[in-house]
Amino acid sequence: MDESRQDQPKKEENAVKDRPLDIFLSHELRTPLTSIMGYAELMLNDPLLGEEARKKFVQIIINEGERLSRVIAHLCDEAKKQQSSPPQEDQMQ
Amino acid sequence: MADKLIYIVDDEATISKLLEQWVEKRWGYSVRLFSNGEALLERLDEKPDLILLDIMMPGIGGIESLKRVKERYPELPVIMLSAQGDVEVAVNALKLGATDYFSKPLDFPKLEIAIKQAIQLHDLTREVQRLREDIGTKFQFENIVSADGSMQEVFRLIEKVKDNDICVLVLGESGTGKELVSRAVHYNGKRKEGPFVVVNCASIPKELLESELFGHEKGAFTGAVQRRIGKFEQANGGTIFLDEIGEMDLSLQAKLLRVIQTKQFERVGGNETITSDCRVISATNKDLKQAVVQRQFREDLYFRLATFPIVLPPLRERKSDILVLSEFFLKKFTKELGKPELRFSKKALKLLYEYPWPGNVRELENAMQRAVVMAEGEIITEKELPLAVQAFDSKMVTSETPQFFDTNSPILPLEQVKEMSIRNALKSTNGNIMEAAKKLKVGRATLYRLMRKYKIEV
Repeated sequence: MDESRQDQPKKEENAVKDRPLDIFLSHELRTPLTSIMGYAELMLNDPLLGEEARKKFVQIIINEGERLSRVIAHLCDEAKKQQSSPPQEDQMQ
Repeated sequence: MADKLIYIVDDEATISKLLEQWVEKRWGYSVRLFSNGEALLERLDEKPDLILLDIMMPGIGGIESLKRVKERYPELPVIMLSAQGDVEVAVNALKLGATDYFSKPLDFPKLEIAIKQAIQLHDLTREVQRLREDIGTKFQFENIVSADGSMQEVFRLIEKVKDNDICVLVLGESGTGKELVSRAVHYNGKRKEGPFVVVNCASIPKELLESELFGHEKGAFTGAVQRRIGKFEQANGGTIFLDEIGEMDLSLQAKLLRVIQTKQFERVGGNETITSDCRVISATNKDLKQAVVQRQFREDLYFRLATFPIVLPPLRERKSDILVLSEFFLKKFTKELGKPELRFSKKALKLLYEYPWPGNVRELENAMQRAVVMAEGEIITEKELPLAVQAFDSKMVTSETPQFFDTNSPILPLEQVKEMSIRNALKSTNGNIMEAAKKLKVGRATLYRLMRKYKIEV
């Protein structure tokens, strides 16, 4: 498995270009959310989980939370840009 | 569950690892992780029991991977996972053969149930397929053990008739394998995917046989507490095998004739006309022509059933098969009972060869099973054979065994033949004088007189 996250921002960029907005949004929001909820549920349901695994899972949750935060920031930037740019002709009609 | 292998395919390493935690660590399955569809397809021949497949992946995506998996292994369960949350994608995946679809974030308790059920269904499908193949192989007529020319004629007839829907009548003594031949016709023919339904007309009381064949409606008679589907209805699309047809009551024969002609009937106590498309194969050890003459069997039904007769010769008329079958059953039971390799002594072989086997292949099979159970060393001697075979004296063979009187047979004095005939009759009836007299077609008093004359004691 390639666990490298180095290509992630580039991948996300490509995703923006290649996919319809609703699919992009759904994918980029739900993917980190799946990890956050999934690992949290694992910890909740497994009282015998070792300290090392617990630390690892918490770190993944933090990473995925940050990723989610980046996506939201990116979305807010895009929204601001759209609000500040002059409206297109077809939008005025 | 550790023996069940699940492939997890997702380009997001954290999701793959998360699924690994749940599927392997918590639910106990074996897993293998793949980061793209190409890697999955390369390892598909290792036959996983289920695939968890993400839809949105770089390269060949989840949907294309699903198509390619289904082309190669249509029965393999694939559960699709997607963060797209698009109903159309889900419907498309299911149309392409996906077992289920889960949108992210995942509901893990539901996913566990879906995996469990999909694997169970897959196992059952494989089991049904295996059993079908087994049955198909078991009843391939190439597997009916015989080296005798007369059976080759039987195989030729099966080959001719297997794909036609005409009625087949299998004739032969008890134990000659009438049902085996009937199954061979069914399982090698175009109806092999359909059911093979057996009805033994002799073992069901005649009052109940009608309801057994055609079913009954609730309340049709005392005890008919609910509707019952009959064998003809069950055999729809397949074959109904009417064993011991010669024992069927005359009144029911008329109804059977109608069903064969029209493929239609009513359940007992019902008005609804039911249509069943099934092939009819019947069998008997009775002389049906004689039964027709004696008005015990309808002539029109006889001609209908006997459109294509197959006659199975008794074992004593195909001597070469005795040794072939003995060896076959010996190997079969040795394997089944976990015994070391066995072989026959010369005397045992001679007895097996000379005994007339009135119960035919079934009797030989039982004798071989007994011999394997009894055997203590590596050799089966005459002592391990049934008493009837041990006690058999070839000199006592009667005129009922015509091969004894072939062109090379010695000419025997008539008195000796009479004595042999009486001894044989008493042996085969276990000393029942009444029955022996009946079979010898002499009076009881005559038989007593002759027994005294030849000093025969029971």
